[in-house]
Amino acid sequence: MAPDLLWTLIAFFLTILVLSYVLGDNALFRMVMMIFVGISAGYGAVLLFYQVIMPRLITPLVTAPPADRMVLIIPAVLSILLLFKLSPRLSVLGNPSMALLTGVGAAVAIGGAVSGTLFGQISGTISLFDLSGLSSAGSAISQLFGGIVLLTGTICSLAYFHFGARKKGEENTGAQPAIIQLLAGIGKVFIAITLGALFAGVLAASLAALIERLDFLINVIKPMIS
Amino acid sequence: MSEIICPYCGYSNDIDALTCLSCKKSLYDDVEEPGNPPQQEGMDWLNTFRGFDTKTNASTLDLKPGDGSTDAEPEIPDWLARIRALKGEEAPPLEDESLPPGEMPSLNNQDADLPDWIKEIKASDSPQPGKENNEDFPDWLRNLSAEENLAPKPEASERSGAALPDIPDDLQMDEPAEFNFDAQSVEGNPIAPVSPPLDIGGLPDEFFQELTAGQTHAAEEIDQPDLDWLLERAQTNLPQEEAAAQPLDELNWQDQPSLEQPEPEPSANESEPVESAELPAWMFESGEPAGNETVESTEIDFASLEGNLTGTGSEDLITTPQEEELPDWLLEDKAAPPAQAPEYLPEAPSDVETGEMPGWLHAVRPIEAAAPKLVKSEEESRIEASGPLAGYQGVLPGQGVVTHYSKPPVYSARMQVTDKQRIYATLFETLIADEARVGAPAAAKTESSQLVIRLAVGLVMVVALLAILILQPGFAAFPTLVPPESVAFYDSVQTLTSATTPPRVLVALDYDPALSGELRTISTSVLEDWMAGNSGLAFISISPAGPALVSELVNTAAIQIPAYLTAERVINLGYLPGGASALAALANSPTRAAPTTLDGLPAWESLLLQGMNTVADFDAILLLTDNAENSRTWVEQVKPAAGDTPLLVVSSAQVAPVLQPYVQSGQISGMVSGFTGGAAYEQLTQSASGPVRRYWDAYQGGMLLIAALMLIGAAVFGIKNIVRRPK
Repeated sequence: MAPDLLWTLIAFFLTILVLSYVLGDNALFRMVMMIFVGISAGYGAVLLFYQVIMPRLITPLVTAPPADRMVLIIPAVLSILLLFKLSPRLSVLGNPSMALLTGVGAAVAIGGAVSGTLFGQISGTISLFDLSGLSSAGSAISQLFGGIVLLTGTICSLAYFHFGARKKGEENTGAQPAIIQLLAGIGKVFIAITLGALFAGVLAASLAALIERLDFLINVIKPMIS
Repeated sequence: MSEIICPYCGYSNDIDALTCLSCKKSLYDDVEEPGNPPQQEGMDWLNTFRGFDTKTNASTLDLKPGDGSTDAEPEIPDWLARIRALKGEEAPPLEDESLPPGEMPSLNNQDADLPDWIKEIKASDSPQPGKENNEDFPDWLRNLSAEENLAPKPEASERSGAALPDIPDDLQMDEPAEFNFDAQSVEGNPIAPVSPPLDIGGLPDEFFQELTAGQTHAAEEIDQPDLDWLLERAQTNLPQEEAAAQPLDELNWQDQPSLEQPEPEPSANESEPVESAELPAWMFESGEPAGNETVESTEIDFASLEGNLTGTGSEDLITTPQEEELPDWLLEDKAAPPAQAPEYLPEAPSDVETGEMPGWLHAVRPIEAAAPKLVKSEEESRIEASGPLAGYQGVLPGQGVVTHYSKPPVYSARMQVTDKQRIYATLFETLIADEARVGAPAAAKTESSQLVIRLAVGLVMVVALLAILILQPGFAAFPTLVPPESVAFYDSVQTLTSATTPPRVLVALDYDPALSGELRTISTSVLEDWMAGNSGLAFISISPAGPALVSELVNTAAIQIPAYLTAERVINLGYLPGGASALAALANSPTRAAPTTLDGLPAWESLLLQGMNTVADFDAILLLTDNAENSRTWVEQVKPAAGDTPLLVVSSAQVAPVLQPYVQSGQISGMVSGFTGGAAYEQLTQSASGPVRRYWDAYQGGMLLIAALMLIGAAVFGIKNIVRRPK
């Protein structure tokens, strides 16, 4: 039996076992899940060792010039300290590594979010109201209408997540101002449309994956039948 | 208290004494002669009882009347003489004295004022006129009645010592010595403490202790054997028969009328009955009114009882509730005019020689007898009112501590919460209760139906898709309206692949194997176009499974482009660990972020990537993703460093709504998402055998089926709600 056919049959049965979830959670489905998790973890460990640790840490420490070795000692020590997180008693030794990872990650994420998302989205929203470059009035109206809808949706969605309430004297009534309630109501509609679109996207992606798997099964069974 | 020295014998007497306690002689020259005692108000009843007791005593002790009566006269105690003297000076003349004996208020004259039931009782109990109903009475009582009936009413002028011979010696001797404790102690009589040896029946020990504790402290120190002479003296005063039959120690004072009769300090109040509520129960249990009065005279503070007394007249005596329990003879005695009581003269010296007080006894006499009475503090004079030491004087004030106790504080284990916290807790409890109430029946109801619905929907979907995939009906047309992002994507690809120099594209593969069916199908068409343009493809992944998916994707796409040399034009940079930080590093210096290929070879020294130092050196960046977060990270970290290099995205359908704003803002140059985007791209490329077209019928059929199932489910659920609502 050719290896391809063997792996195709394994994939076929694993696909059938996964599809058995239509009958509910069962042992066969859980077995496939365990196999998938185990293979992924093993593959990831091997990949990390051979793709990251060996070529980027161990090999340079052995073969690189002394100057580069001194530089590599810092990540090596931090990586070793990170292993102490496995022990509850010695986990404190891994705090510097975790602090470095968290700090650097947060700084990078915030910087990227400000420059890439905040400024980019504000600029993109404003650009919809720039009608100078448009050739026809219809395009201008269409772009302006799209800009108004986008701006309205953005403001109303932000208003929906405004949970503050104004005090009346010393008593906190818990009620939002009327304008906020109006905007939040409109924002709720935009949020519902967005969540509906996301759900439709998830459903479409799942349907595409199911179609691809069913086509795989057909492609496996069809030669056998014929 | 000062003292008065007797001019005759030199004995030290109390300042209040009128006669010497030792020699019985008058201490003052101007004292009334014994033969002319002062008229005393309120003493009539006492005098009556004295006469009665005299007779009674004689009868009880089998004494012949008149024996020893004359001897007893000079032995009238000084306390009685002193009281008579004081009363004679202070008391006003009795009103009853002016009345003739026949006009004295009697019981019969007051019957009209009495209730009927008392009249009936009196009628049944009162003796018939002319007939003495004395058969039931003891001898001493019959003698008493006979004497009272026969005795002439003494006139005021006749009040001399004529009646005194009736007083027996034992009465005259024993009264002051044994019952008038107060007088004894005040007068400093050293023999006073010997009185307790008498048996007083129902009286508790505390009674005598109360009487003697505060007044005769010094006398208590006298040894009992030293008092034998006093016992002998008492026995000699008693009739010989009684003394022989009953020892002094065994005398029951309740059984001896003579011992119950005397009134130590007669006053107007003492002649009146005392409310029963003010007297202890043991006094009533004795059944001897005379004895009770004796006790009251020594124990009860008459000033405090003054308000409880019913009055001074004979009418009040009759109408008091206590008299319901008294016999008629006693009521008659009380109703008799008090002014008719015989007067007593000071006792003349009896034949019993007055003994000299021994020196040792004089030395140990109470200090109160010779020295002025110490002014007692409030605490010392306080009488304990409750507890086992009730009635004692000078007891440490422990009542406030002992009796006025409070229960120990009870500490509750309950949480101390404020009203606000309680309101919040109640609100939270209500919310939880509502959740539990709503969730429980729903879970029970859907437990069985969910499996059926899921099985039915799954089977319908699988069967329908399999049928469409097998039959390939071709009922679904490709979309004629292409999204602008797909058009932009197509334009970018065509622009780069139509260039003279093959473009070098950084392909970022960032999706999981679970969605590889969708992304591989979409990406295959795109990669085929890039391969058709002989583009150099540098694959890199931020997902551990990415490098393995790269090989499958390249191999799948290369099948359609056999001329494309994957070994030369494709390089796999492998896995890039570190997330956003790694992407930032890749954007700044790709040669340092991903220095080697998946095989471990220097990536940036290959012919494909030679001379490239930044991501901007790539002609395009193609992102294959199914993760919105990673897609945004690529946009945020890499796009700013890429400059004018277009960022093209092939995404899953589930990521498209998140990435759409970046497409609108121009940060993403073009995007193909899902089968819809893939179909649009294939529509633009005019591909007749693209992978998306093969699945397009099944995709469209599946979407229609899903929509139909959703509508059916919504309709069924709505109908159920409509049906349930009337209930």
